[in-house]
Amino acid sequence: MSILMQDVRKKYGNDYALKNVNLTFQKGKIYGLIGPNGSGKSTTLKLITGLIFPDSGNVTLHGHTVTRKTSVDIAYLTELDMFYDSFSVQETINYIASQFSDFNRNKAELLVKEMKLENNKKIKSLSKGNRARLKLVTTLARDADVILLDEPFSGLDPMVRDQIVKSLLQYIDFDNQILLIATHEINEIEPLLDEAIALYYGEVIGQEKVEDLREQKGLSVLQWFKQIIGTIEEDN
Amino acid sequence: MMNPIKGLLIKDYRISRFHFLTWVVAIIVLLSFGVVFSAYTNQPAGTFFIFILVGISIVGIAPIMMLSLLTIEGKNQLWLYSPRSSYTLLLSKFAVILTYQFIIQILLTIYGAISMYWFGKSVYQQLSTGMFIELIAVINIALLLTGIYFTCWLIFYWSIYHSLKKYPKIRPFRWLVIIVLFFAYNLFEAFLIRLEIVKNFVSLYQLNIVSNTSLNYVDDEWNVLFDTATIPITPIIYYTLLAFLLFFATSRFLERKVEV
Amino acid sequence: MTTEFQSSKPIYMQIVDRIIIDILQEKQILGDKLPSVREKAVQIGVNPNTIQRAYSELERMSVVETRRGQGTFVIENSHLLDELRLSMQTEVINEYVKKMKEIGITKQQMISELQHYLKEED
Repeated sequence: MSILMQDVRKKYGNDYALKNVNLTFQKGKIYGLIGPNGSGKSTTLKLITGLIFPDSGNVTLHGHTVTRKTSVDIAYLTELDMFYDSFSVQETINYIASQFSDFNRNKAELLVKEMKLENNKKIKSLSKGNRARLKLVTTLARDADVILLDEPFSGLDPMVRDQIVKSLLQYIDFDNQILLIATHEINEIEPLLDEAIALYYGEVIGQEKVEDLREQKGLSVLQWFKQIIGTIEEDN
Repeated sequence: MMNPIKGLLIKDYRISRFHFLTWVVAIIVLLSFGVVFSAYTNQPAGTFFIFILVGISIVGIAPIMMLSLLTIEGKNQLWLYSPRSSYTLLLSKFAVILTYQFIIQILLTIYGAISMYWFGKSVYQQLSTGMFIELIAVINIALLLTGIYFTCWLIFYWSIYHSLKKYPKIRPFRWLVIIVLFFAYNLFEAFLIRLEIVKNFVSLYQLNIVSNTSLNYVDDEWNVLFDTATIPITPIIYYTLLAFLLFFATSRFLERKVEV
Repeated sequence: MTTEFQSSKPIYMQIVDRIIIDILQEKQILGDKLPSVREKAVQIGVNPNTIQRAYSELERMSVVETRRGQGTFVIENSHLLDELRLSMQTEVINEYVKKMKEIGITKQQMISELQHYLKEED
């Protein structure tokens, strides 16, 4: 059970969003896709979800090429606003539950309670933090094979961030799910990760096990990331 | 657990109901204006003028509603993040919009009945109930089909417009592409109609219905008269096929080309 | 609250240290059960695999034992506290001496400075 990306290229006009990317993701692990804005993190997640398609190369989930239908197995949290403004929290949950058969209502209820969301509140009246919480509720409540989170912490205060980290750890099914988090906030996410993958201008410039980095090189992920970017920029 | 189709229908209804209510209010205001104005000028046939006006504007309801729904979805295109096929996603919108249109048509039908048998009894040529039902049925079906036809064009253009989003060079000229497509097709159709062989084929099969109406001015009063007319069958078949084609093409575009 | 970690040392080792300090401060009682891997992960905001690794390390150090189907328990051994205290002590002294040497303090100075400091504290 894995995600495989083989020689994946994605261009927008003349600009490469991704260049010859080869990656494998296994279940039971938490991966961090790190890099500055515009490095190809969102593009990678969208390719895995089947929301965009590679210009060349292959993206497969469990051995099948990813299409729009792959969303059956993938819970995807976008960095954008993903809900209808006129819906209430409850209506949003009902709608997503109706569309994804792996949606676990009990989990959703627990999460809503934990995140202190009010069911009858309208989306348009929710604060930024509460919208981010609701995004997480609808994503984590799915018993999907893969969970993809695109910048789940961006623009949130540390309290919300901590709560999101805890819910994440509590509700993810470690034995059966692949979790992939894309973020440029490297320090915040490091303790969550098994592996860190560094992206830079559409290329994978490094992939390491987080604890190996510390044990063998005495580097945190951020230090490692700065180091490899340093060597790349020296070469140029 | 709610089933996915019902979920989609409820969603499409929820994000469009305000827009629909606006239409209903506008149309009721227009229809009332027709009655008030006709009463004021002592020309009960004025309601007929409004009837035609509203009838024509109904053709615009479905495409405009579809555009407003797609604009909401197009903000992030995450409606495509769904295990449902593009056909299903589109059909749900069609179902909701055509229901709206049908409700507005019912309003118009009631208005027509009131105009003919009560308010404008003196000036409308009185049709038998059977004839009236036939006339109303033909008008309603024609309006629905026309609405579907234009909406199919709309979704087709919309999906092309959004398919072109990923090419930064074409992106600023997407409107141009749509306009060129529009004129190209219409020229093609105009050319087609002028062909002798097409002309003959079009007039080959005809259907008789009461659809011809006219206003006559007799003794200081406008009167509404009805007549039988013929509709050619071939164009109906052609446009039906074309609508299907546009619908399927759109679905393919949504599935393969429109990126999120 | 999720916890901050130093950047140079493996996170699992930092968790091991913290659990040992908890035992020394008797926040974690000898013979008692440690939180499950998942509970501990949620508590401090860390990947469960890292917690698992910390527990294994503690087990290797004979501080805890895993009982099948019951969980992980701190070993009920009265010598354990002394041993842990001793090993922590050695580690702290190592660090102290290393740092002092780095800034050019002699062994004599180290002792006298420490004595002076402790006197001040009283």
